[in-house]
Amino acid sequence: MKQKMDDVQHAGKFQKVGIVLAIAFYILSVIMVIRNYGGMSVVFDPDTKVITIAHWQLEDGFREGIDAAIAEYEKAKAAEGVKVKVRQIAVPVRGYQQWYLTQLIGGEPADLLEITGSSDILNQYFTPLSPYIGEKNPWNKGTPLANMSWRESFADDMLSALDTAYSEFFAVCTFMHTTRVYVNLDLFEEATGKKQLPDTLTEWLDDCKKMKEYGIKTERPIIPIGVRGFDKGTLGQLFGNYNSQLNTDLSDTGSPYGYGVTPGDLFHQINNGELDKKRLLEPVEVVTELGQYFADGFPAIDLEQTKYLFFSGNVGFFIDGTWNAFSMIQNAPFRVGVIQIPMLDKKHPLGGKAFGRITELGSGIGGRFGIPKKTKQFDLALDFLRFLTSWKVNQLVMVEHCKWMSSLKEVEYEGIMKTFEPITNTSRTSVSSPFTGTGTLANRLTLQRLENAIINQPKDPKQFFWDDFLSVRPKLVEEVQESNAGVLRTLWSMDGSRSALAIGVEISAPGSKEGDLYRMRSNINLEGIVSRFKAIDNNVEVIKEMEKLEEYGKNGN
Amino acid sequence: MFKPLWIFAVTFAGAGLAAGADSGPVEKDVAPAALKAYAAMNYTQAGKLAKKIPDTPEGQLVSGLCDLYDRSHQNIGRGQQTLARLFHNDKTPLPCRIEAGVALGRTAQLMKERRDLYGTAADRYDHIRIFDTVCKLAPGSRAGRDSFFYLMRERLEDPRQRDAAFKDLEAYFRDFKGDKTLLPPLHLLAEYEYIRLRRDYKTAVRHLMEGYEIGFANPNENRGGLFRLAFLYFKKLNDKPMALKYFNEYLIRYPYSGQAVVAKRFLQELGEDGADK
Repeated sequence: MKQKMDDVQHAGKFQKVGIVLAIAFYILSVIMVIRNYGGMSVVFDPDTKVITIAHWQLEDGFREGIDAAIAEYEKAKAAEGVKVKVRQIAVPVRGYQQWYLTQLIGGEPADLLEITGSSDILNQYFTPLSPYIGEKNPWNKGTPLANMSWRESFADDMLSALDTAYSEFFAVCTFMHTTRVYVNLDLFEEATGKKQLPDTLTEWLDDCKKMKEYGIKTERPIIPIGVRGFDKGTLGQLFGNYNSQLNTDLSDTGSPYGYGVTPGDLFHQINNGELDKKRLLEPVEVVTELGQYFADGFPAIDLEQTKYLFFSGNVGFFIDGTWNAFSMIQNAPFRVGVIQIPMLDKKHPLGGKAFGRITELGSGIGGRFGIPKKTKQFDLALDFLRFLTSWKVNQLVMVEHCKWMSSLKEVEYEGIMKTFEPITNTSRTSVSSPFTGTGTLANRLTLQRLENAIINQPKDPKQFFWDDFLSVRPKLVEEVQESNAGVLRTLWSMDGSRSALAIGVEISAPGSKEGDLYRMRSNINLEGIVSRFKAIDNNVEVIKEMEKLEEYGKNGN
Repeated sequence: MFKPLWIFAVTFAGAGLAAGADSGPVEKDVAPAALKAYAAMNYTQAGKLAKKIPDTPEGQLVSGLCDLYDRSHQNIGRGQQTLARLFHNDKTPLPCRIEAGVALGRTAQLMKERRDLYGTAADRYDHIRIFDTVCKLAPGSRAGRDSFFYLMRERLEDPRQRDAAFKDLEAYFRDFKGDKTLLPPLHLLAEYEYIRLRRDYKTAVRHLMEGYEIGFANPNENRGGLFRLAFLYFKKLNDKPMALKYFNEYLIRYPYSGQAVVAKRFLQELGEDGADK
């Protein structure tokens, strides 16, 4: 009987604990819901308007920068008598695409989203911003951008944000990046015995050689140049950079239509004996030479592993975009220097023909944010987007917190950020290699071929590269043919846009702003079709000329 | 007795109101709503609204266009038939008839360019006659410009028609009575084709300059066009004063662009050679 009583008492105690736990979980859930929704002030104050901004930028400083901008914005709106709460959601890039599509399809997306995906997705789910970009950004009052339209206030006049398939701006850009070489200064000084960082390729190769020898002498696994071998990102950056340094002059004379040159033009010149194919192969030689100083297993090393190796102190130089600069400098247990990719110089056997560094002006502008059509707070979302891309606030977020460059004009940089600024003290622009310029497959196969050249170190890397290029020619031709079919498919879509815009013009009141916008977009659409005609003709030309190319040592030598 | 009857009356009235609310805009508002949804490229909504007014030209036009361009419910054959009926009917209101014609002509033209995919399915429609008719029905209009643009490219591709096509192109610009802001895309096409087919830089540059002076709608095209103008004057026509003028204008308008550094280099070259033509 006593045993029974004890059991009942125990059961009663457990029940009480269970009830207490259930209540505690309930209270915790309520707190979490309130917190996630924006806090007590939002839940219990129906006048407070809430908007959400979502992105995939998890780099150091970005979220903190957005938080700082949010605090400023809420304060500014409160001063206007408007109660606003802005929430920030950061989603890792690997899951962002699915999360983003689910949000958009689900019909209740964040009010401001960092955009990704095809033009069709943007057109279906995002608000066209063309009606607003011609207006001044009210948050730029009293700044050097005060008299510019929103569009003109961007360093590239918003061209990076234009969706050419739909002739529309679905987003605006928030930051800018360049590619730089990060240097472990401690290792550099120990290994080379000097403080002056390399400016030329000859100096760089010499420093790498010394680092390698230093590793052998000190029995340390020193890797002079750390590369993202797995996705071949660094190979592409180096190949593109040295190709431009060696062949940028082809843009002056290569095309009958204007400045710049296409793969078809270059192959045509080779077939006509006007251009030596060896010239186009010289960048292969440079990258193969640099490749001696990569890690032995570089093709299997990805970005995170490279960063880990750099932080471990065994990598001398690490090439990457400035998006990683802050975390590289901040988190490394040694001093980090930043330099531009060294320039081909007269002392190098190929340097006599090189043109020096290439400008980076107008490139690398990204971080596009748009407003979904389903937002319930369009005016507020637009206002916050303008706030985020205003002169002072964009610098607060990007420059002060992230150590990233702003996408806007009239921004001055100081200290280490001076080294990130786009190269301007040159008169040359980049030119794409005909080996990478005909499509994504061509680009991938070129990088694979470079990787093979680095691993095998053939006697004549140029011939090795050319022979392999010709061996995959049928695949490359097929890719260009498929690209042309893609252009024709795009022309169908563009006619859909033409039709919709024509109806838009028809139903708008004469002289209305809406009508003017439809008319402008209709012209953009037709101008875009001329570009598509050019693309089709270029593709036809490149196929014709690619098929005529001969073995190494024959035409074009 | 009174109360139950009143309850029934209120219930039915409520049900009636609810049904009315479900059906969306009233009949007279459906056509504008369908056209508005179509203009916003909201094909799902436009198609739904068009189905409510199947006997009106607007309903038929939007249905036909959605059949062609809404890739989630595409039915090209049916769409082209609907548009052909509208286009060949003189009683169709002119704006609907013209848009039906341009869309029918252009899709038929594109299908003939992809016989690997569409075979002879579009051969029943004579797109050249359709475009010609649109040009006659709406001279100087946006639809007329579009039709002429599509026809011109096709005619220039054919060596037998090329000379006549270039003459017609010049005549079109000369005789154009409509809104001049419709012309820049055609000037852009003319610039490209004069270089591609004739290497006639003088005429090409004239067209580029006329297009630029009116203003291209795409800011990218405006920027690229200005640089190209200066470049072609410099490198192809050796007209240094004009090259100087346009390179300087480029630097004022686009100092942050990648090609600004090239413009500066060319200006130096022009300065070294002297600015006299």
